[in-house]
Amino acid sequence: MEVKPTETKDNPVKGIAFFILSTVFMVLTNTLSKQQFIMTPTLSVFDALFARGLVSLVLLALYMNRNIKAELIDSVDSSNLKALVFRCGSGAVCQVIAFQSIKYFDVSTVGMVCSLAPIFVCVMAYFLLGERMNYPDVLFLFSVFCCVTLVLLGAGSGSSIDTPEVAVTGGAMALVGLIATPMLTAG
Amino acid sequence: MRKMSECVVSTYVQLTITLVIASMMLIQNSSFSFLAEFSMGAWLLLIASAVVNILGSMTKFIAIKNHKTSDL
Repeated sequence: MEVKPTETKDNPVKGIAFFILSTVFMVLTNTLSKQQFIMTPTLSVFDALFARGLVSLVLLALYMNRNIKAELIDSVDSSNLKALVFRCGSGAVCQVIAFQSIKYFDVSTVGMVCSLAPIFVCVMAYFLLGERMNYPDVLFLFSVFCCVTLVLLGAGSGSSIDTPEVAVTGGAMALVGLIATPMLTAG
Repeated sequence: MRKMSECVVSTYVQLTITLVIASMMLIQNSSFSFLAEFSMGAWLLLIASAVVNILGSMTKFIAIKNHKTSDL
């Protein structure tokens, strides 16, 4: 199929602007989810995920209106299917772990763990997508890792659980989802 | 290759989550009655959370389509 030139052209300003916007939305999501657990203490992780998934599906169906078939079935190439399945699987596991983290940890601690994302993204993007990095980038990433580790070491006292393993796992799974998304557009 | 719409990935991810979680709740004999017990505030919070989550996924997908992952 023919590819439109505007779709493949790299636009760093737009990309970075949207990524910052996405980060703000994700932080807001975590905060709202934490508030949900505070407001409804009996709510389990599965209950919260199911309820949000259901509401999200209704909202997405309303957004797509009558184009559901065209959007969901016709727009998916067979070449993208494997990446899409991987993205859905990792996204589901990621959401379960992320909600588990949000329920038992401070949102700020979970946010800090997610700051480790760039390191894993760069390593996985190197192997899976063949993207290259400069030495300054590696240096800055290492400094990010050091800073986040220092913050996490001091964050135990504010958490409901003494060890941050669950939050670390949640952050790691979020990265898998982050890598799976560009695989959908890389082909 | 034909590019997918931003909301397609979000829809499939949410569909997977909903179906997987519903299956697990059925296996565990959990009740779905908690939905009826939500207060108005809890529902508003849930809808706001869903909207923000969708916007977050869509903006991330747009960002990754426009620039390489390692830089983002």
